[in-house]
Amino acid sequence: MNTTRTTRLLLLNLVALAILVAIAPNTQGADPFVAGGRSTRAVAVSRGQSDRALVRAAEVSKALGLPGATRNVARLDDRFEHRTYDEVTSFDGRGREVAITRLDLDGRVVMALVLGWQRGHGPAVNSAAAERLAAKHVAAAGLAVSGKPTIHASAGAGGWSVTWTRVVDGIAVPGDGVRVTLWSDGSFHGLARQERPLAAIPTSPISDADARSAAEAFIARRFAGYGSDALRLDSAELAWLASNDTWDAGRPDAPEGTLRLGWIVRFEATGALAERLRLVQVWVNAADRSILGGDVAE
Amino acid sequence: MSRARSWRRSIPPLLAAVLLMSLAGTAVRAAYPASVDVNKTAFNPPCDGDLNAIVPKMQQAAVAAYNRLGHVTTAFTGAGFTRANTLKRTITDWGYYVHSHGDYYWHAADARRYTGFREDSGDCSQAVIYSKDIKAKRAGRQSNLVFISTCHASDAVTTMPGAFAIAKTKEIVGTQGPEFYTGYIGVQWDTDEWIFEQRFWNALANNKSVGAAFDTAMLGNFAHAGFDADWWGTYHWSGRAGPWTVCSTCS
Repeated sequence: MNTTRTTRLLLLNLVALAILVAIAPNTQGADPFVAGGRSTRAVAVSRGQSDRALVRAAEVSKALGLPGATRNVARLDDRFEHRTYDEVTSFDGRGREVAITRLDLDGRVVMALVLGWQRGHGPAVNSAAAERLAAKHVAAAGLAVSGKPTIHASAGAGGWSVTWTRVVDGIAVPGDGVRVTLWSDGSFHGLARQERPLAAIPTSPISDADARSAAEAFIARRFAGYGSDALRLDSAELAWLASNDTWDAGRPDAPEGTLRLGWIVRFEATGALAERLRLVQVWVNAADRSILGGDVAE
Repeated sequence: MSRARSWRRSIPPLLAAVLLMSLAGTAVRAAYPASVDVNKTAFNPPCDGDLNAIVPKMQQAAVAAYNRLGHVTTAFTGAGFTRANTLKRTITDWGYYVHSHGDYYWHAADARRYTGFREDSGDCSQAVIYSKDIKAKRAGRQSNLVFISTCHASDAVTTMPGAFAIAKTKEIVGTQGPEFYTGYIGVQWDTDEWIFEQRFWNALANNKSVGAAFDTAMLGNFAHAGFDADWWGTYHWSGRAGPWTVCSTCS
């Protein structure tokens, strides 16, 4: 083999390797999220798509008062949250990140966030004012909310956390809705919107009593070593739920992307068990009494 | 000399360079150990009647995250995560993550409360590791990233940050040094904690500062509207292991 041929082969291999590296982010986008890995990976975005995201981010920034002199955009495939969005990062005059705006591919706000920490420039507002101001910020972001939000003072959020949980035909969708964080003076800190797809409603959903019975049977089997009153049934509530791996390690590491109708049956631990485990939820599929997943508070 | 021969001649020095670079990286990383303590036994058989898949996931995610930050990270659970082992290791740890049952526990001998968490120990009788125990061992030594993934770890009264010599103040710039403490307020559910932690680790992996990562994590789709966490330390810090590192683009 002569040197020219060797060089050509080497170059061909390098080109093949470069192609593999270039397409890797896109081909792996369909892979499920695995714990320990990143949730997001960058995917290709065209010049036109990038420009549209930057224009929309500028509009959102103006409406919410987000800082930033310059912006850049990355399209991210989020395998943990099962969605793709444009993340626009804003920079100040010294090139430091000062805000993040995430936009759905149709331009709707997924998240807006002012970076940095401030104690607020004005006097602290009360809960009622926080609710009013949060609603104003939601409207400014071009989003709509209804109903009474859950409000709590939050040191980590900078002042207040205001959450409107999504409700569909009278049934709550925990985790979906709009969450706004405010500085203590009521000024804007952050906002997030989540609206996951819902599966079809079962034709004949199981009753509250059926769900309690299925959950109690599950608990009795799983916690057989404890007395019958170690976990006391507290409540049962119909909700749209993302199936998870709380009770089944074989399921994916990220919650399911499409929500299913189910009953949240809640138990409270008592006695010695409560020293390790405070509360337990068993999620019962409203279609067939199967276990969709659950939750624990340790 | 042919070009092919020239290529072959360049291979040994290239290999040597790669070897040296990887050894140098190991030497730097070895200086900043981190421990990831995860209490699996309390939430799995025989203590609970069932396997809890969320806890191992949290361990995997934390180990990967601390490694990405430049620590040499070791995970402990079962009989490896005992009060004695944790207190022995904390002397040299720069980073620390724990997921367990936590509270503001009464300490009978001192007749007062301290923030603490339970060891795993591989059985169902799990001793409390109080913040005062860690504080005594660390004796004011600097920490990097400390993530106490337990209930009550970041309540206003928490005594845990002080155990890692992290003042309960929020700094934008670097006056507080390359350190960050975070944890949950009140009682929180595992699925919300998992969402918070994955968002936090992912933002750090994407070169956000620890403060920006916290803020991003706080906007997760938590099932419980009352979800809350708090932090203390330096917002701008990159999260990288060891003394100050510069993050030119961090907010």
